[in-house]
Amino acid sequence: MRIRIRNGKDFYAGLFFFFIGIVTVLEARAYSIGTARSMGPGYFPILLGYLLLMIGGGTAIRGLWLKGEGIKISSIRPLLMVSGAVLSFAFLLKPCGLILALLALVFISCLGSREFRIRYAVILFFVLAAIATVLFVYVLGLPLPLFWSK
Amino acid sequence: MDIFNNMILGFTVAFTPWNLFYCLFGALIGTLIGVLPGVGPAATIALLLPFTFNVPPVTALIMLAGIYYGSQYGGSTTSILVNIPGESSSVVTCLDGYAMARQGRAGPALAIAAMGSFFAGCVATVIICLLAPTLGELALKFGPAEYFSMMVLGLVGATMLAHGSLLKAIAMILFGLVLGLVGTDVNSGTRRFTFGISTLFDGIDFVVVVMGLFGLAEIISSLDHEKKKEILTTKVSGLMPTRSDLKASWKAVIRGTVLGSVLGILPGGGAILSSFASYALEKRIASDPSRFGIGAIEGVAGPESANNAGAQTSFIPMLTLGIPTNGVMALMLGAMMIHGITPGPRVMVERPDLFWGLIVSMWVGNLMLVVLNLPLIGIWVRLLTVPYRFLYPAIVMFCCIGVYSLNNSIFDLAMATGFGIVGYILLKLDCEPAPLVLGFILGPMMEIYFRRAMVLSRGDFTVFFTQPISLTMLLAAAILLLMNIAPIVRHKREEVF
Amino acid sequence: MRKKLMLSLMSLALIATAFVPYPDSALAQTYPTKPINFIVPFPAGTGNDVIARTIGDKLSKSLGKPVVVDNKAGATGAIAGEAAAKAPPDGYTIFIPSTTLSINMSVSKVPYDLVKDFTPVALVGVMPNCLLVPSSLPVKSIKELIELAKSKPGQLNFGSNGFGGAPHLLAEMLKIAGQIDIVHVAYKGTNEVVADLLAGRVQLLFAPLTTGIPLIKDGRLRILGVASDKRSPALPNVPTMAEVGFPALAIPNWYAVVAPAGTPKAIITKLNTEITKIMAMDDVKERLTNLGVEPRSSTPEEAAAYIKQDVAKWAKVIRDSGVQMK
Repeated sequence: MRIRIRNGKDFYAGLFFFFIGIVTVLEARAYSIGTARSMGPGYFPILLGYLLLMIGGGTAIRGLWLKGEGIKISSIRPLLMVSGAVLSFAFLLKPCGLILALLALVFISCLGSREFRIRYAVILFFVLAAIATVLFVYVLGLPLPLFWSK
Repeated sequence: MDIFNNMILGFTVAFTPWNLFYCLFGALIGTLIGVLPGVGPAATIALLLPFTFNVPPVTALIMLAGIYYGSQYGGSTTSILVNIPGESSSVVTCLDGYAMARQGRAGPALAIAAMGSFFAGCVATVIICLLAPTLGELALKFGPAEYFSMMVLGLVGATMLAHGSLLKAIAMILFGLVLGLVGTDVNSGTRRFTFGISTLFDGIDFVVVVMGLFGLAEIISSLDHEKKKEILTTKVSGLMPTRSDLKASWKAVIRGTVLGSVLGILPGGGAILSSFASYALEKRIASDPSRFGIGAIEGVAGPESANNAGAQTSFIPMLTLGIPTNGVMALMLGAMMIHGITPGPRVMVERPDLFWGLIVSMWVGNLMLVVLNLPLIGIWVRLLTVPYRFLYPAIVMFCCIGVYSLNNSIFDLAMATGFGIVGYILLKLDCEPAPLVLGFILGPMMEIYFRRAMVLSRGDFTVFFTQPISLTMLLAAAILLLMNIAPIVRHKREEVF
Repeated sequence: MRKKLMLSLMSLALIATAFVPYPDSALAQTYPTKPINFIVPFPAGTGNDVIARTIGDKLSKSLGKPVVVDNKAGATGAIAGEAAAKAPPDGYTIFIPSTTLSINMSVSKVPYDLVKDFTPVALVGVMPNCLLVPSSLPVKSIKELIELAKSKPGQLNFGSNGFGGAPHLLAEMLKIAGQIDIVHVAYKGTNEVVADLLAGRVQLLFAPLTTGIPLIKDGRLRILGVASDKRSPALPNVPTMAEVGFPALAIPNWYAVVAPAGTPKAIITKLNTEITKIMAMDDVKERLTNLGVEPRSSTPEEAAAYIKQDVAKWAKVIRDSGVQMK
């Protein structure tokens, strides 16, 4: 018997919450639970975990029954590029300094747009690097190294 | 009359050139801070604290207060323009404010936010003048049982923040509650959900969650829709609110002001709830609730007034009792002490110039902020006409630096990315982020207050029902819940038949 | 031929001097050549931070190079502790730990050791905790409090700013030393407790003197005792815990400036000299006193002994009270 997922959004959302519920319950078992009168650190988390399991499961099942829309994703590029931009900024900041990290950030995030043109990315980089340096390092005095440290 | 004399005293203090200058300076810096996502008033006040060592205490406090509510004004700007809340109280403004911006109505949204905030600030200042000591006492009547019941009411209200599926909203709230529990348990010292990562011992930072869930997720989502260009409207229809806008908003402003003024006094976290409560209230009594979430101006007017009123009245417990209501107040308390001033009921008597000067300068600060912000609206709106492909890398940059500036932690940035990805997926699955945020804020507080109420009552559950304030809140929550569920039940019945 | 040999030998000798280690005193004379990083384990605005900024500001002026305050808050000081312990001992990193870091060594596992990983520079401040009660409670001295608690076992509540903090531990010690049964109510931070203390939901609280003094000014709260062995100059009429028979509770909060272990002695001495001068300045003393902190100065050896003793005292308190973080 083939099960058709009628409402993709509900089904996967339900699965997601169900999964979170499982993780919560598993983690919370390690903490002492106590009683309702005298709650231990594990009581509330386990309660929440079970509730998530129920609601997640219910939503997933609803996704099998009721008709609804499917999930529409045009391209995975924006997701990859934006995440990539933030992560490369994160890992380049300390070793290479703010300017280089921003270079990576601007270029990679620009790649996330369909209308990417190198010219624009370069100009944008210079503008943003200037703004960031003046605003964050000089005006606000945040401890961001501009270039690589020795 | 005494108050009249006090006001005059306050005016003479607040209107000295130096104090006016510092007020303006504080308000400017505060607005800048508020507009920049991630950089919050607490960090700035702390940074500028040393500058205040060399100025008289009144001046120092005026500047610090200016920074504080300047950041409230600035925070709503980013909420409306780019869907990134600057403060926890601005989260709700994202819902309808950003929707309005996408419809080309950023100008009216910003204007109403500013005007509502100003009105609320003025009223709140008057309330402080007249009722400060009484309200201070009221704050003491709230014990853990009352706070818990208030949180329950808040959670039920949180379900109203979504305009989609109720079940998914509840799931998001629960998810938020779980995320809020990450960290060290206050009562037992147990580290929960930290997986051994030391940065998590103090919990997940609110800014990290919000940057990812609201900022990054929204950017990814907009890029995904680029082809359709439905988000990227560059048509702007007027900078100022129309007459019908004003007509729709003024009652919301008043309601929000009242709500915010009352909730701001509670030291245990009332101010955060004020904007959420206002939103829920407006949605509940609106003739057409389905407008909310897609650009209802009441959804901006009410919450913005509420959070500004709350920001002002949250000074009361600090000034009258010496109890700070949030991190920023705690810093101001420290600043006062460094200058040798001990807050408490005595402050009004011993240093009336300080007390009344501060209060009048609050009003002056609000005035300055409105004067500053209204013309700025033109600039902000023009900023939105910049093609998105130039705008969004800038937003990503501001998010990154904002998150990093919290704890200089790369792990925070990685978490923000994670929240961005998860937030994007959840958006695709029609799960809205606002209920999660409310759950995230309320979750740990609810647990703490419940456990504390149980300890104080030695395990007696009835304490929630025997204390009058607590009972009222719980009843209100029950009624609200029923009112929300009833239409669904009726609907299902109609389906079946 | 000989000349050439002489020249080569001389040049070799010259080159060799480059490898001779710089004598300590010479190093201290040129120190500092670049900015100094001053790690603070708590966020801006807290006691450690204000003291660090005050000292750092003056130190920049006297040393001629900027002293940059670096707030590394998190895990109640463990993150900063680890960072400071692992910093290179070249004199360009200093750290300002306080009692919390000492307590945490015994309450939970921490990635630093105050005694082994650091060379103290100077003790800079001391601030005792005080015992606060609401004035609605009919007790005027610690003795009366103990009697009241004994007559109502399990009915009185004490507050704390969180599990495993000094207020919690001091109250547990009072329980044991006074043989009373009081119930722990935990809060996140001292300010929250104060509200419930004022309202009378909680009956006693150990809190830093900074927090306590402003609250007694309008008479709503009373300070029954000071958890120290010397009376506080701010409250000359309030007895100390040692005086009323609880010497085990006489452990005040302290602040000290330390450097990573292995920092050259000459640098430590130089820093100590400068800091001692700073702590004697009137404006510095005034600022710290306004905060409730008693400014101190000491030699590096005195500071080292003090910290070592403090760690041992708290270790004993935690052993005796059985408080452990999981």
